[in-house]
Amino acid sequence: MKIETIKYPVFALLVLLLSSSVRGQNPEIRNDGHGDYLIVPAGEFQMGDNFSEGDADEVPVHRVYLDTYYIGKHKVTNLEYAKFIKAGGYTDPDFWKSGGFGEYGERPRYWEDTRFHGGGLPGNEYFPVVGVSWFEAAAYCEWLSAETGRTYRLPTEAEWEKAARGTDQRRFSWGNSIDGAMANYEHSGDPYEPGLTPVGFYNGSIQQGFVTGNNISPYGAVEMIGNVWEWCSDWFSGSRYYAASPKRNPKGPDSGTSRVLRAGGWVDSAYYQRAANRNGSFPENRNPIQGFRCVREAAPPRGY
Amino acid sequence: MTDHSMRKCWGTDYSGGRIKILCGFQCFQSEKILKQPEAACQDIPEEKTGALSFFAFIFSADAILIVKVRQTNSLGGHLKNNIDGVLRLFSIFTLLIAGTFCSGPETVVNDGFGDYLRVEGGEFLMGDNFDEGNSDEIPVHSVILDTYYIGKHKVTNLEYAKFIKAGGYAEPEYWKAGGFEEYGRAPAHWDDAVHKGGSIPGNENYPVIGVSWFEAAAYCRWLSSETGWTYRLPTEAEWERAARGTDQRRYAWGNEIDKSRANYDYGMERKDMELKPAGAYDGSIRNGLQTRDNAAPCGAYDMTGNTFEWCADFYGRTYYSESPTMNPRGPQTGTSRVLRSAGYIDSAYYQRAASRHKRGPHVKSHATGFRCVREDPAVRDDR
Repeated sequence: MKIETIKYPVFALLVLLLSSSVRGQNPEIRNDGHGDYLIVPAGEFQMGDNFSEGDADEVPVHRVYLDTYYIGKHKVTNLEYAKFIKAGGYTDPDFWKSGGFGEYGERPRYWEDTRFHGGGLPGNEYFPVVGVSWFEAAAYCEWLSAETGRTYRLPTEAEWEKAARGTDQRRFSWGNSIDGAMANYEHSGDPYEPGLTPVGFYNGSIQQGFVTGNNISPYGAVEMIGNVWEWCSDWFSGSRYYAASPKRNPKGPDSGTSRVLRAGGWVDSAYYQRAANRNGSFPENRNPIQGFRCVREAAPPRGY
Repeated sequence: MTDHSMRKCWGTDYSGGRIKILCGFQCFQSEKILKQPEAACQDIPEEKTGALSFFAFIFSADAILIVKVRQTNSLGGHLKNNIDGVLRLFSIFTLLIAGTFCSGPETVVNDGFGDYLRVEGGEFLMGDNFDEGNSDEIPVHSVILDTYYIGKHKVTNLEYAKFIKAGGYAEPEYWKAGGFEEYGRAPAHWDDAVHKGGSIPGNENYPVIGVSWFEAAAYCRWLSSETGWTYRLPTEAEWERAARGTDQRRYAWGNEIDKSRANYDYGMERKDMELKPAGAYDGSIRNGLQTRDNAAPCGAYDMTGNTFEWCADFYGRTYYSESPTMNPRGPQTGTSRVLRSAGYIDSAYYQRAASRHKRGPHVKSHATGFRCVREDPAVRDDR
C-alpha cells in the first residue's frame, strides 16, 4: 500500500517526461538551437492576389505545389545574427558562395545605430536584424547550415507566401483585415513609433499599455506581416513571372537584377502588408526596413 | 516669400546676348534682341512683393512730378526749365537705381507653358546625409551644377494636351530619344476619370500621369521647338538640387512630413488616396484639409509627393561612387531610367528628397508624371 502510493507519482512523472519528450520530437517543430522552425506540409496552394487589388505583378493567381519545409518562427533577431558575426561569419568565404564576400565589412549597416535598434547595442537582442544585404542574409543561412548539419536557406517566394497565408487565400496571416493592433506598419501606433518592434510583440497580449492582436500565420509563423521586409531567394522579375512559373516548387527566374522582398516594412502602409504583395530590391541594398527569416529543408542534407 | 517671386519680371537678362532694362511696367530692350524678347515681362506677378511696390511707388511719384512740370511749363521761364531739367535728371537717376537693383538675372521665366524658376549654379551635397535610405543613396557627395530653370509644377494635363493637339505623337522629330509610334496618341488613363485623365473636363490642372519616359522626353522636345528654348527632363542631380536646396533637408520644405504638406500615403486610409491638382499644397484649405506650403527652396511645388517624376538619367545603383562632380548626367547606358519624387500611393520613407527610384522607360504608371527644366542659354553657349 505504502509502496503503491509512491509508485503513482513516479508513474505520473514518467508519463509526463515521456509526453514532453514526445513533444520535443513533435514533427511540426524543429529546433537546432537557433530558434523554432515550423512545418509547412507538402501540398498545393493558390498563389497571388485573389482580391484583384494589388499590382500587375501579383497576378495571375496560380496553383503552386510545394514540398514540405520548415519556416522560421521569427524573423532572424540581432541575438541570432550576433552569433554569426562572433563565429567569424564575415571572414569565412565558405559562407559566401552566393557572392558578396568581403564587401560588407564585419557587421550589418546600423549595427551600432540606436535609431534602428542596432544589434551591437545592449537591449536590442530581440529586435529583427536590419541593414543586411541579400548576400549577408544568404551567408547567415550557409553558416547556420554548417553549424547545425541541416540545410537552412532563404525561403523561395512561393514558400514565403504559403507560410504567411496558408491555403485559404486570406489577405493577411490571420485573416482579411488589418489595423494597428495586428502589425507594425506606417502610423500603426505601437509604443515604438516610428520604428521597429521587437519580434513577437504582436502576440495578443497588452504590452506597455498597447493592446496587440496575434500576428501569427496558419502554420504558427510570427509576424510575417509588417515590421521589416524579408529577403527571399528568388530573383525578382516583375510582372511576367506568375504567368510562366513552374507548378511545382518554383524558384524564381533564372537571372535578374533584384531579389524578392516580402512582408512589408514599418515605413510602409497597409497596402504593402498584404501577403500577396511583391517587392524587389537590389541584393546589395542595405537599409533599415529589410531583414529576413530562414527556412529549414525537410529532407536531410546529402550524406546523412 | 521666396526670392524668386520678389524678383519676378524685374531685371536684366543677359541670356542669349539680350540685354533688357526694366522701367516701370515696360521693357526696353537693346538692339541685340534674340528670340523670345518679351517673354519675361508679360505678366506682372499677382503676388506683389514689398520691393515691387516700392519701385512702383517711385515710378508713380516720378510720373506725377513730370506731369506737374509739364503743367507749369505753360507759364514759361528759365527757372521752370531748370526744375524740369532737374526732375528729368531725377527721373533718369531713379531709373538707373531701379536698373541696378533689378539687374540680376531673371528668377522666373515663362514661355507660355508655366513658370520656370531659376536654380543658381553652384555646389550642393547630394545623397542621404541622414544615413537612413537605401545603399544607392550613398555616398553623400559634392556636385556642382550649372544654372538652370526648373518647372514650378509637374507638367499638367492642360499643358500636355497642347502637345497632343499639336500632333506631338505623330512628329518623329520629337521622338529622337526613341519610342516613336509606340505609345498610341495619348498617355495611359487619359480617358480615365479615376486617375484624373487629361481628356476629361475639370482635370486640366492635374499633373499628367501614365506617360512613359519616351513620352516625357518627346514633350520636352516639342516644348523646345515651340518656344525656341531648350527644354528637357532634369538630370537626377538637377532634380535633387531643386527639390531640397543646398542645406541637406529631408523634404522640400524641411525635415518633417505630415499630410498637410504633401500628397502621399499617410498609412491607414489608402482607399481615400488619389491624385491631387498641381500646387494643391499652398497653405489653402482644400476639402477641409488645411494645407501648408510645400514649395522647395527654389519655389517649385510638389517636388515631394503626388507623382513620381521621370529624370533624364539612366539609373545606376553605384553611380554616386563614380559620378563626376560637374553636371553629372548618369551612367552612359542602362535598362531603367531614374524616377524621383514619389506617388500618392507611397509612404513617407520613399518621399525623401534623396530617395532614388528606377523604372523601365516604357512603363506607364498612374502615379508617374514629370516636370521639365529649361536650360540657361548662357550656360549652353559656354559648353
